[in-house]
Amino acid sequence: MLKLTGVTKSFGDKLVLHPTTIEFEQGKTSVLIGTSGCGKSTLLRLMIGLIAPNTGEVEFDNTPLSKDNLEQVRHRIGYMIQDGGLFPHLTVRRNVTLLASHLGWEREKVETRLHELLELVHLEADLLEKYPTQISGGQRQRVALMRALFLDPDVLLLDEPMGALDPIIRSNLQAELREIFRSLGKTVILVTHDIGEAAFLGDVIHVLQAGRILQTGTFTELVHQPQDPFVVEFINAQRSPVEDLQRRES
Amino acid sequence: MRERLPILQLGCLLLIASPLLAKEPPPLAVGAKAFTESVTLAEIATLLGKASGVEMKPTTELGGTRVLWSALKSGEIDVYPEYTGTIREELFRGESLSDFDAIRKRLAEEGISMTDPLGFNNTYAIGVKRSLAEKLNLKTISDLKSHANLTYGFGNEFMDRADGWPSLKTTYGLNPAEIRGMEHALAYRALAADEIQVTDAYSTDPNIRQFNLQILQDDRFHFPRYDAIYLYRTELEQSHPQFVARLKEMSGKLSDEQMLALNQEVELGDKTSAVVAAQFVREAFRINVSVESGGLISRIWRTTLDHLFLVIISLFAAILIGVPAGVIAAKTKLPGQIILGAAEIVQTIPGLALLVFMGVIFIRIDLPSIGAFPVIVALFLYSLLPIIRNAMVGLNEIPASLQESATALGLNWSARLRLVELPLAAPLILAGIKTTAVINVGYAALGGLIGAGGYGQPIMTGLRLNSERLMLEGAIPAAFMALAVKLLFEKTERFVVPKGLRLQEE
Repeated sequence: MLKLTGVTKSFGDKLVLHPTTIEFEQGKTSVLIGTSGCGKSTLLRLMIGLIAPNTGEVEFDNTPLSKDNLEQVRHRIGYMIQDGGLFPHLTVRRNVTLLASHLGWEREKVETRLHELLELVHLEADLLEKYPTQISGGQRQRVALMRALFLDPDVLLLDEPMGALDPIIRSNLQAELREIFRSLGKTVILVTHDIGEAAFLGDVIHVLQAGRILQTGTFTELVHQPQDPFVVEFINAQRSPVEDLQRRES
Repeated sequence: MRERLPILQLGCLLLIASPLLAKEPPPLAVGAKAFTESVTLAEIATLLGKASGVEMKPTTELGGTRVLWSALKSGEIDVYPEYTGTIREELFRGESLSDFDAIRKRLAEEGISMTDPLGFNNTYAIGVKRSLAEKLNLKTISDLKSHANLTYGFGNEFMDRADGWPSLKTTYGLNPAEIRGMEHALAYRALAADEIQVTDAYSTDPNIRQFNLQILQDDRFHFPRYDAIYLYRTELEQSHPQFVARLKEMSGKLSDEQMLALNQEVELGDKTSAVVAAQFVREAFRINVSVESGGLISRIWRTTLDHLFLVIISLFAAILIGVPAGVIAAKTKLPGQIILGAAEIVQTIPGLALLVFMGVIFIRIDLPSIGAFPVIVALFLYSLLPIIRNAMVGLNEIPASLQESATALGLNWSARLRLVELPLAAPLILAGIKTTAVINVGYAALGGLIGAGGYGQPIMTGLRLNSERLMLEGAIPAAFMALAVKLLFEKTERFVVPKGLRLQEE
């Protein structure tokens, strides 16, 4: 579905993405993980054409991205960022339906889709008339997900969607997202720096460091057959308070 | 809102075009320079026109000789009172026109004719306070030479005129410590306040008496004669022969003393030039003419409408052009810088200079150089910078994450602009428009300089007549209008700024 071939990106003199070739499997959830500045968000932004690669090619559904097809491709990709990126001047309803009504969808079709999605993300209909500033952070992310899913895209790109949420809300949302991803069968590409989240959601995990992909595999493979000391270090850096306690007590 | 816009635009176009459409059948217009004597003489001409059955526009007060001369040549006005000295020394400087016949011949080349002298000679004079004259024993202009520590303050026109300060200085070898150019009406006040000691005056100026000035004798005969005459478009002799005959009858009807008396009645009494002119015409021609002076309320109402017209039309035009220009300035590099730079340059041109400059160009391309049109254009030009700049800043300050969200959604550039960026920039855009509107209410007083009406009219007349009451008649409503405009825009915010953004601020 999405394929990057020999793609590089630099900002000024700084090469942030070394030549990278990567293909994302259809219907799977792939996770891009690494420390900040490793190039994972850059990779995601290249896929939706917010930035253009210096060299190499990005292909969507076997067609290279170009100026002419960019808008069409974006309609087939849902994109969601850390704080949701909701427009503060529009109600929840308008935020979610903006693109559909711009594309001339009929009112009935819009309403049907709107209520399908409300159910999917577990939100109440009375939220629709509120503004983004009037709802909680968790609700904002659900609304952002509704917006990303509205046109029933083939691909979902999520850039640290839960980075700004409280632990309990995050944990609940992670569980719901896993259900949603499984039930919809979409190609999902998730950027995170949280290995727990990656292990929980990802079918495939790509570990990045300093603009290169170090290893690709399932969480099990990363744990048992790490191909780079950084992978071990990165996985072990995640603290588990319960394990820590057990270790101290034994 | 979207449906209403085309109607509004159409309305603006009609309003702008209406003075052009109203050109036929053309009534005649008499112009005046912005001082009492000229206005009174012009009012007399207007009344004589009406008495000969001609439809006359209200007398138009205009800035200076050049503006009037251009307006007369282009046909925007048909008659105005002038002085032979000014024609010789200012209009045809360096052509040494020796006598009336020479002047007439030269005027004929421009399609302009001149009446015989009206009688009085209003030449320039140099005055000092009587007390100072006695203290320093000043009797002639030559006496000034030995007192180099005096400060001179002259009317702006006198500062520039060929027969004014530039040559007076040479004739008498004067070299004062300090010399200031100012609005002539202010010079007397500055003199009374001892900020200046020497000023120029007209010999029929009643202020000479009011401010107790000593006129210094022109012992080297520097100033030429300034015989008052009427200049009119020669074509009037065919189209309006009765009117021209009346104007010609004015010759010899006003002596120095009579003119001074008329001036005094206007400046020191509380009659308007029009009333004094009507009185004169009744007595001198035995024609029964009257003028509607109108009450205070009706005068303020009329100036308010004129003023609003100037402000509203220019503001709408500036919004229609400025907001899109602001978008271009925000979205492009080079064109954006050019747009912003041009708007900034316009902002630095002084109002009067801009009006005169535009007047010169407008006459060439056959557009009105006086009246509402050039004032609206000037206000429009001044309005552009704040509107463009605020629109640009408003768009640039939208968080990158929101701009990217709109892009990533797959909205094209025009949809992004319309649905996301302009609404998000609305508070700043509106703030720019508000600032502009309030400033425009003040700037529109420029209209008083070139006959566009508005609050500038009573302010200018008040300045010239030294009448605080008249100045306040323009200044107080202007202040109220500025306040009202500000309040109006604060209410408008409710409709223009999206609710979600207002919630954010709370």
